Amino acid sequence: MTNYDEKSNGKGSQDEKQRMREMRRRRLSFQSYRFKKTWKIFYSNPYGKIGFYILLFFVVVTIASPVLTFHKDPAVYIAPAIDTTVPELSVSGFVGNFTGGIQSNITSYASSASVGGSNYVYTINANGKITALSLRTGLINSTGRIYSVTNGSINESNPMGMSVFTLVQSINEITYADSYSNYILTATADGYINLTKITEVNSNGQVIPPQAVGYESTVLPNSRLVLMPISSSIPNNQGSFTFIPFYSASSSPYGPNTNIGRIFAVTQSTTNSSYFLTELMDDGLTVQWQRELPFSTQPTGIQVYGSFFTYSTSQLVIVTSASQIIAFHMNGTEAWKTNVSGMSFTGNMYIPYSFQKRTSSSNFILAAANNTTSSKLYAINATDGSPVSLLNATSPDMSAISSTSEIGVFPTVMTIVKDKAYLMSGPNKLAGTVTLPSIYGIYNRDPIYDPAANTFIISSSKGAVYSLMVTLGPNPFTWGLVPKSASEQISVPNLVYDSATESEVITFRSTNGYLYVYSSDGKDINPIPPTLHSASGGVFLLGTNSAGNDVWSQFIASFPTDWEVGIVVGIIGIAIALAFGVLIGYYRGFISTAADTLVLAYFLIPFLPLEIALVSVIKPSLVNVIWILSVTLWPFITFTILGIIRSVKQRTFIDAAKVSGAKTGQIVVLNLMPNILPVLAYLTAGNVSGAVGSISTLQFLGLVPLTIMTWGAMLNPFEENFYIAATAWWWVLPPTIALTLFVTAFIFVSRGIDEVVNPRLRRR
Amino acid sequence: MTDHMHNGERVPLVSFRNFGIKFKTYDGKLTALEEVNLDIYPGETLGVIGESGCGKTSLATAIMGLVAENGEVTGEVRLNNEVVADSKGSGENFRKLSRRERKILQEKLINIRWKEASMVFQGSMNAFNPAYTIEKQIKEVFKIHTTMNEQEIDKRIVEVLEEAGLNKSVLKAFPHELSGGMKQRAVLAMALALSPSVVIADEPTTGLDVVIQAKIIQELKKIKNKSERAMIVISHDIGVVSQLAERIAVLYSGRIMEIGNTWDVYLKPLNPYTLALIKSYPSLEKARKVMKGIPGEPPSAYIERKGCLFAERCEFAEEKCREEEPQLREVIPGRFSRCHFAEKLMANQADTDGEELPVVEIDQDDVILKIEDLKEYFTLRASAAGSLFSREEGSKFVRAVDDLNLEIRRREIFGVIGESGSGKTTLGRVVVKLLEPTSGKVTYFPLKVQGDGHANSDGSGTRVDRTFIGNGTKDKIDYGWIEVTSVKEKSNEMRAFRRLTQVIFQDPYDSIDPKMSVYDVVSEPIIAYRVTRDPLEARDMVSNALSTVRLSPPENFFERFSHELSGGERQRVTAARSLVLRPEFIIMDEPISMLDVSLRAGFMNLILDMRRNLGISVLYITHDLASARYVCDRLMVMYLGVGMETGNTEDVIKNPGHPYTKALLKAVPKPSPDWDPTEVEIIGEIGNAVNVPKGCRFSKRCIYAQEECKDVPPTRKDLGNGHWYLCHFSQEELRKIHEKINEN
Repeated sequence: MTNYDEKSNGKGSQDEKQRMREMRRRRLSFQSYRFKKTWKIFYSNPYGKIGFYILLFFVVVTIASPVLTFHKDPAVYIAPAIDTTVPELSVSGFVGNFTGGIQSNITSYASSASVGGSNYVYTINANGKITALSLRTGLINSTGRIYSVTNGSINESNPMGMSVFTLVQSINEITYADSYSNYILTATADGYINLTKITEVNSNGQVIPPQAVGYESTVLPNSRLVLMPISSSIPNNQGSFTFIPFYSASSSPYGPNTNIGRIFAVTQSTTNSSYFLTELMDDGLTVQWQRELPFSTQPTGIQVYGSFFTYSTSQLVIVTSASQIIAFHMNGTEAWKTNVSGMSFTGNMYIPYSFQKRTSSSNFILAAANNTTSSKLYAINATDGSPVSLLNATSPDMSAISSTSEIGVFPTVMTIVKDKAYLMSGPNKLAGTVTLPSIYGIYNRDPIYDPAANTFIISSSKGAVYSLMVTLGPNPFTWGLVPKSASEQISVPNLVYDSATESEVITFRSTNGYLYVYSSDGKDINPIPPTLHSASGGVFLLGTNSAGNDVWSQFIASFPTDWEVGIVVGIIGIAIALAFGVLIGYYRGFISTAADTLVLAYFLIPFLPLEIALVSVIKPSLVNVIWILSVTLWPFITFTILGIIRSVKQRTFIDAAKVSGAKTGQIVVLNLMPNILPVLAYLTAGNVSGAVGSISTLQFLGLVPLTIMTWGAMLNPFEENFYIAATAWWWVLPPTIALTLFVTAFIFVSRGIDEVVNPRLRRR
Repeated sequence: MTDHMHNGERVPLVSFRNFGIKFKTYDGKLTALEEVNLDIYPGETLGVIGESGCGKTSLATAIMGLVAENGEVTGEVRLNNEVVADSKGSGENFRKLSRRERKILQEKLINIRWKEASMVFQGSMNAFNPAYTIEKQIKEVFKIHTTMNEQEIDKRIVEVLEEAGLNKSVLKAFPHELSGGMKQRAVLAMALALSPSVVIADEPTTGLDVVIQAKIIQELKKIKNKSERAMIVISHDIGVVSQLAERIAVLYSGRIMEIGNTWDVYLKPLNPYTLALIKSYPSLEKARKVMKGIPGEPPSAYIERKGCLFAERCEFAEEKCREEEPQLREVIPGRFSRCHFAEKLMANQADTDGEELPVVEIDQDDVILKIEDLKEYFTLRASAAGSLFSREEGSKFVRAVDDLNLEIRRREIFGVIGESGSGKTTLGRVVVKLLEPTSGKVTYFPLKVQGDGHANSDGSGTRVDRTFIGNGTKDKIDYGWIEVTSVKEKSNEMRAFRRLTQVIFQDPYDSIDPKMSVYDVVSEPIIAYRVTRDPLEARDMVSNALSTVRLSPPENFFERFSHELSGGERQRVTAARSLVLRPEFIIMDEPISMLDVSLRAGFMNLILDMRRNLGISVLYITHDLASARYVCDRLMVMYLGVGMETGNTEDVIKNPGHPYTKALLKAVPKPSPDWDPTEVEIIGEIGNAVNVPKGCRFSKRCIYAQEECKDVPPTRKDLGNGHWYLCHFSQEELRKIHEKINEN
């Protein structure tokens, strides 16, 4: 043995430094070698390995949770009604494929009068075949019966469109009672205009499905139709309206000034390309008058103003082309003419229902105009044609116009520019804007106003239908309806009065071949199943729960909370347990004995009732709950640690350390701790999962507010209602699986640690 | 024996044919046994000796058909001509068997066990279920394996108990009510219950005190002589095996190295390993000769084997040994050896006696530790609750150490010897103040660096300065002597005392923190005493300490953990830890009892070297007389907390004064045919130190005991040369009493 006292004082020399560095390097590599070895043992255990990977997954999800969570506060966030409320399907029927694109290939009509053919929804296909779907099923969500209306009498291919309207066909000479008929108007682009009457009674007086009878057809010579002919009796895209008798030309007892169902057609001469406006009468489709239109470009729109006026003197037929808008009286004379320079009318015109009904000098026609960079909504005075700009939009894509139907006030006008809906309560008076979901195509259809619900029913080209409240508010949509497949398209929906259910219904035809009839009021369908294309365009990876919360966001947001609770409680619990364990197990004396007794007494209090009592007394915020769990979960571990400390204390190396002069502190830190560390890790793993289990229990029992987002909180509703648990797998499974996996992972990791701690297990 | 004769040829009861077992473990394949060819004949007793891990127990359990699930068997073992272990019924093959086949196989084995072959497992006396009486537990054997009715069983139980040397009073006893020796006999009775043709005793006396060991050997001898059954005795102790067995098989690393008749093998071993093994551990008579020990360690059982497995440790090894595997061959008739040079070895036998141990001069007046009237009583009521609910009244004490007086001199190795429960370990712990003494005084006299170099043994030493090893500041501590029993734990004196004294504990497996590397373990005292902040200096100190205990190069050991060390290395590490601060005084509590036989001599030599080279004084606590004789200068025989006899080692061993010492010395099994365990003159077993007799502690067990011994405390009888014993009678008187006994 060398003499230590002769230690050289050669500090700072290169050699010493070198040796020092070498020593540090060796210690370091030794430490890492040690860790690697321990890790290898842990990893070679299948339990440890699986547990590690599960935990790794949990950690990764937790770290990524701010990105993965779609909503900032998932506990509070409720999916908008647009996603969670749908109109109820009342009847549907297969009417054959339709290719989409043709706006009017479906129409519908229903009247409160008991007219043959009422309470049917009519549609026409590319061959001109007209079918009808009965609304009178009385059953919800049933398959309706489809009737062929044309019965072979109408046979045109490529119809431009179809409209259905009711006219007074005759008046009883004795009773003066009106006798009505429903008419179907169709047209083809090459100038053919057809009108047929619908009957539900056969020649023997028996009730039959609607049939076309009294078919009339005319062709305007040397002409082609530019726009679908319109009847003055059917204003476009209106909801159901008060019944006003329109007289057939032949039946009108009051002369030409009464409200006769006139048909207007815009044609282009095939000889000199000039444009004509023609008025036809239903009676034999006779041409009443024809006027050449002073347009050099193709007319874009035609509209009848004052459909519901009692007399035809104030009625106007309005045609647009480029920057020009011209109004004609019913006798064919020009009423007024307006030019909006720099803009051109898109042909999209809309006349609020109140203006159609009641004459007033302030009535106006809503017309959209645009140029390459912007668009404008004009309110054009119906009396003198003076234009007022209601809205200037920076996009040229003003695609749809609608309005409410209040009488006597400025109606709420709505227009859609791209995916923004603007609501105006006066000229340049914006009542509000709403962004519409943009994933379902463009909004090139005029919304329908539903006066009963005070909502606009908005539809998009790809088949999404929304109900937008006129009053807007933070959650402006009352319901939404989206096609089941992304490729699906629908026709323009119509709002129809179903006299069978005495309610407004929405009808449209889908490219899947079905004609649908939906109720116009929404129904809450929470919990909604997982969907990637919800009505709002949002993604609900795991659907919603019954309160409308986004399950996915709640699920993901639970990861950090559960970790937080688990780790904090786990560590605090272990720290307390360790402190008591060392105090009771290692030290001896009065304090130790007293602590032993107290801890034992505390241990004997069942922890779940204690937790329940504590959360009832203390305001259970997250921090408080963590404290409560921390102070209730440690006694069990303490006794485990205690036993281990006592057994380690008995081991000779502790005595050896004492004899080596180590003070108690040094022994505890250097000898005791490393020997109980693996067990501590083992217990911490157990405690972490125990804490998560505990908070889940408390939340499941509803003792801790559900705003603390954990898996247990997510499962809370099932405590009362097992039925939803059975139906909403997307809601019940994720937290259940996560909770099980989380706890299992820790058990597995514990098993892995066990392998490291107890080499005896390994040798087997 | 005629039953087993066929055509004049003896039919073996148990036969191993090319038997081998490999265990599949995570660390690879462990070869437990290989190429075992062995026959055991009826009426014969075979001794199996070898170090731990050599495959002794695997050999025994194979006869019972007990092969662990991960074991793969080659060759076969037959018991009464029935195959009990072969490759079909083990390892992979066993797993491939259908359920039915497995069941048949297992039922066959169950039938064989206990009926054909029974086994006394190592330490099985501690495996009794504490909740049942002995009777119930022995009965179970009959109930499971026979169809005997209650009366028959009752009759048979009494028979087997008598066979095992017990009377039927133990039947109603619970295991905790029996002493160790009685439990071991009860285990024997269980093994004999169904009259098996083979009884295997795996380390039957390990963990028992010498006296009880002698009695168990006596019992086994009786059993052996009475019947024609074969017996296999497994032990690491040649003394025990040689007393029981007619033939010995020496196992090393799973191979049989030598087979032969016991005395032939012992006196003229034909295998270097046997020779080295015999040489490496002292028998009591040879304990004054220098032992060599076997260098190195047995080869790892995991690595691939090549050549002779002992070659690396063998002093006769040549190139051939490392390359070529020797076969077990009959060297001379009846003697088999696995060695290339067995013949050469025969010639080499002459000088088995080594040189005498050098005698170390010790200054009789230079006392380092003085123990005066030391008492250590443990109360049986540790807790408040315990005293509240105790069924008995009044307090009770375990008198672990009672009125002990002792002086240890500088550079002396002082042995304390006694059976377990005699208070040896407690004494050691009290001296270093791991336990607070109840009363008495322990005084420690540090070496004076200045002054006259001697402390006055009366405690009137002058105050001197002592410079400690350490950093530049060189802390000075003022003291003359340290009264260990009265100084406070946190005082400077106590710290100084702790620095100067160290302990090496019995269990090297437990006394090294499993979570600390060797470097951390050895540097623990350096950190504790803040000897140096310079890591390089600390490193040098650790390195030096490791070299001192011959762990070299020390750097290779720094970063190893206790489980990566062998038993011998572990104990050396603990020695290094105790040496790192250069103490003056070390207490060694059975430092070699947990070491393998081949490593003991090495460690004992290390102790002697430490004393010789570093001048360290040692309190050597042991139950093993032979090792005490080898290392100790003086001895104290302790019995129930009292020193019964003290004197120079040779005086005590050669001329024991106290009846207890005499019995102890006789109880040590000698590897010679004339040793007779019945000569051990002692009654019963060591009791507990709670209800001690008023008079002589030993009176209850003493064959010489007279009326006065019970009530009157004995006095010291001096035999001169510092040799005294505690007894009422002089040697002359004792002799007379003995004659009287013999007459009766």
